[in-house]
Amino acid sequence: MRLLTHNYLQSNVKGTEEGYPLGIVPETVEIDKSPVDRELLLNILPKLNYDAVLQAVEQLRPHCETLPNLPSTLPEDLDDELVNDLYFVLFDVHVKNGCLVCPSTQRKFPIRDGIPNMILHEDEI
Amino acid sequence: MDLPSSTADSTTECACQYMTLVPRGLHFAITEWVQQRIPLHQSIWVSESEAYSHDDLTQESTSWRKHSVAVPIGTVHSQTKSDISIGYNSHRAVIWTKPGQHSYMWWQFATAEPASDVPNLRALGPVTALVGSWKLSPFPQRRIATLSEMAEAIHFCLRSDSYRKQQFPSALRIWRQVALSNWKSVSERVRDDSLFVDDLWLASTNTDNPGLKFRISCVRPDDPNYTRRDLIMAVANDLVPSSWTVDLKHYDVEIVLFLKEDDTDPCSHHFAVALALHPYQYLGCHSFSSGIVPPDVAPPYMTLTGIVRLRPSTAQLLLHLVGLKSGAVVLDPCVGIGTIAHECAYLKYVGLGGDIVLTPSLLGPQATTYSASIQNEQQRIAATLIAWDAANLPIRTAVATFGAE
Repeated sequence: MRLLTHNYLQSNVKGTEEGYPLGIVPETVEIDKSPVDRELLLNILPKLNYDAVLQAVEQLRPHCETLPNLPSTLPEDLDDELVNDLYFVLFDVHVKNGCLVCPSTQRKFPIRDGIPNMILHEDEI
Repeated sequence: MDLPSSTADSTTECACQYMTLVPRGLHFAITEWVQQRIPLHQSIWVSESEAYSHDDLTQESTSWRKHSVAVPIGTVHSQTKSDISIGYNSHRAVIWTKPGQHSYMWWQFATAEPASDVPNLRALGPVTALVGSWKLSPFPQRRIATLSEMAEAIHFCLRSDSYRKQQFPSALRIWRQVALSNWKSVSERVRDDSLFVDDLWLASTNTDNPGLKFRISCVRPDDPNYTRRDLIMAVANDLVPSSWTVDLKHYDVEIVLFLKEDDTDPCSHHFAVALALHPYQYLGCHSFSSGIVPPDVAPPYMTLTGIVRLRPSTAQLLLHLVGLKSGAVVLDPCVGIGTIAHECAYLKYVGLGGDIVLTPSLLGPQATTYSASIQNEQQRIAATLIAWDAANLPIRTAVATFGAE
């Protein structure tokens, strides 16, 4: 699971008041470098919740020493270094195993082989 | 097209044109493709394109006729009904269509990109190296009707010096460049320079030279008079040097035959021969590791480890139809093995896909393997897939409603 994907996910458990952003408890984190696409990144940024990105990065940092330090707010103009860091964080960091945690109910959604399982139980719908 | 073919590398000794099949071709998908929408920033040679309705072309005032540019010197026609056609001359292509009617068509093009990058050209259909194309009109009053008549007409094309000494060797050299630079593995035969000499047919008379292995597939509308297999059997011996041997599973070269009736000329067929350039790098199917049957000419369903799946070409057409911009989020709530979500990478969309069957006990492991193969073998970003219930999407609002942004 990439952090890009994590940014879009929330808990839909019945009765959850605030199911976003989901916490990340990683077991296995892998890095898979890919060529930076600046245009793609700049087009994606307006759709992202940047605070959720920052939170996710900090939750992964104990398991991934190479994570860059990101600014608390994004400047209007992004230099190449920041573009590379953001692209790396969003596209190249993969949580292979672990779980996502609802901030409201603490419900855990397992991640196995990179696929988060967001399927609810019958009593959660 | 009679467009001069070229490569970016002027030292390359050979170049060829390419042909791609447009499955269920759609007017606006073709128009976009002609103008600029080949993914991965590949440039195309055609400098202009326009689209007209059939009705426009019958009017004297149509701008096509007003232009000083001469009328098309050639056309590519659609299947059976002339609903999509392309006219071309040395520097211009015109697309015309009858609204509301669609079909598939061939689309030949020349690109300035190196041959090694051609397999990455996708979005419409499998790209093949064009050996040659011909118009078959042996009878002034009628079309070819029987297998023997068709075979004889094709034999005339294939037994020429032009085919054997220029067209086939040239396309084969391009095919070899692509195979050596793009395919995951090739046989020793493909690496053997002695099998790629200029005069392949003369060399094949040397019985010590075993030649390449090949198979043939045929793209053709259904014909009650004879099957595709009948046609292949009737012309196979003239397609390749005699030293080449048939191997349906462990072949080197996939030869694709294209045959269709001419829409505007009731006495003609169009026939083309091309070499498949490993268009989809179909993952998980080991028999395709050294050459691929283009999914659109194969049986209706291709399987990935036993899973029936959406064809990548169809997924690409769907994504083109939506007409999004880079960075758009495409939501597939029932993504299956992930075809649509993975194809988004070619168009710089963010593919967000999930399915209830992507749990570890169902398709999850196979989806993971497929995603890894896309990353490793195709060297492009694979989408992250999610196991979810489409009736209860775990997506935060302001990202996507049901559909694409």
